[in-house]
Amino acid sequence: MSLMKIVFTLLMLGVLIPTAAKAENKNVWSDSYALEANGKYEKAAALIAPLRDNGNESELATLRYGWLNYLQGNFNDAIHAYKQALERNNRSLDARLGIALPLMAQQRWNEASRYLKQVLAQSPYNYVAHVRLMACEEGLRKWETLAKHALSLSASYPSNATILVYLARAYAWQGKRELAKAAYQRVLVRVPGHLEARRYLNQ
Amino acid sequence: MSIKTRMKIYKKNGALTLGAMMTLFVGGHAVHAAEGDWSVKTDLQAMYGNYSGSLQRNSLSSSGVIVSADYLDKGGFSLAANFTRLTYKASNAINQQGYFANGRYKLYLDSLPGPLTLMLNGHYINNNDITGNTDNVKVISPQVSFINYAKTFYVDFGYARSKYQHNLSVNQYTPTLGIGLNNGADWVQARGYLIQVSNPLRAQNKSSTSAIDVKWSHWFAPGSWHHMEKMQLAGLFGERIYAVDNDAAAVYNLADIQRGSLSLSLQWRLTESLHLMVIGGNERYLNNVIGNAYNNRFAYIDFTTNW
Repeated sequence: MSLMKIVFTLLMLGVLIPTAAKAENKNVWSDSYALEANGKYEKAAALIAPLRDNGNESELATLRYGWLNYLQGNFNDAIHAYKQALERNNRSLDARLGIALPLMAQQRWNEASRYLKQVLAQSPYNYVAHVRLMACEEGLRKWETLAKHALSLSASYPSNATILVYLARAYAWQGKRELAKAAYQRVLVRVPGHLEARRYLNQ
Repeated sequence: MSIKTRMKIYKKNGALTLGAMMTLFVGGHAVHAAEGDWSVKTDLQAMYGNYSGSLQRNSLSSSGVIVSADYLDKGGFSLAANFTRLTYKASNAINQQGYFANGRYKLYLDSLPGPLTLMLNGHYINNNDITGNTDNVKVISPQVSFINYAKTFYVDFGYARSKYQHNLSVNQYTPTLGIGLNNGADWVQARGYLIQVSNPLRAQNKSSTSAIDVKWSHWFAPGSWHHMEKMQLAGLFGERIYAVDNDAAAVYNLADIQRGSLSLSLQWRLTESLHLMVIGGNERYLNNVIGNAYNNRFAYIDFTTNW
């Protein structure tokens, strides 16, 4: 083989191999999404697991690996993955919102609250963080705190029923029946068939 | 990029909270990495008991404080101190100081549907007992427990080794089972007390005792007319001597043979962070040496504050 042929072959490989790898990665992501949609979380996680250590999307792969482990009930692996994502990017709100889920599944309400409050310190009206924090306050049975939180948040999201459900529960657990009824009635205006609200109001 | 860390005690919502606050500055982006990670609880408690039918004993009074600190949901420690005074009909009172320390750590394993808690308890007691028999008591007591996330099943196994002066050591085994019923409104728990004594002469001729402590707890629905949060009925059946109760941070070093008890506990949630508990009950005892059976009718009060 002449020198020219060798140089040409090497140049072609240099162009084709990264292109092939990119195409393969693209398939990996789409295949992983498809497997997740079919409930095959373990296989979906296994596909993107090699991408966590390098490449442009290693951070996304790490976050997704955490999410897919959470869906499998591998809460400790999920927490570990989200912590890795945080080590990589300490500004990540995604990682903080994500790690709250397995922590909440393990009823580690205080630890989950800590991460959610960190999100709210950066993004004070982040709806997802607020709703998850309210779930933690419910888990900790901090009814006064939950009532104040839900009442304040409902001013920012006046059309939202979920916040009013938390408000109603907090009032109900404090024995404030009239306030709880009023909150559940507001829930029913927004979601007319809401089972929990109907059940409480029919008591 | 600069990272500054600091610890401080800060006030939040009017309540003093011990918080480890680490502030990170990342590219001018401040993130509170840990805020209010420690939660602190204080128990102030007092008890008075009057002996009925005892040939020797008159009354028992006790007061104490327990401070507990927990780091997030991972574990924590408790420290307690109490002062107890036992008065006799015909001899000098015993004044006693008791100290208690507890460390606990939670393990969350995906293979288990709930956390495992590893706990180590220690007790030290000194008093002015002129015989020295109940003075300088040391207890070490490990325990492992499990409760499921649904809070319908609890199991633990505890061990306590007590060392008394003048050739006496006591081994105690306490297997426990708890069941949650009625969507968490009721809780039934039974704890066995299997106690082996190294020197029966020091234990009213008992080489071993066994008893079972049964508790039924009921949480009331909110809005009840009595505003009560919880009620508990407890009964002890069987016999026990030199028992160690880590839940109550108590060692029964001054007691004769306990032959059963019955108590009723009522608890109110005064505010989100303040609870009041009162207990009234009766304990039956036997002094085997002089053949004297008697009762201790007691009342107990406890204020718990979460900081």
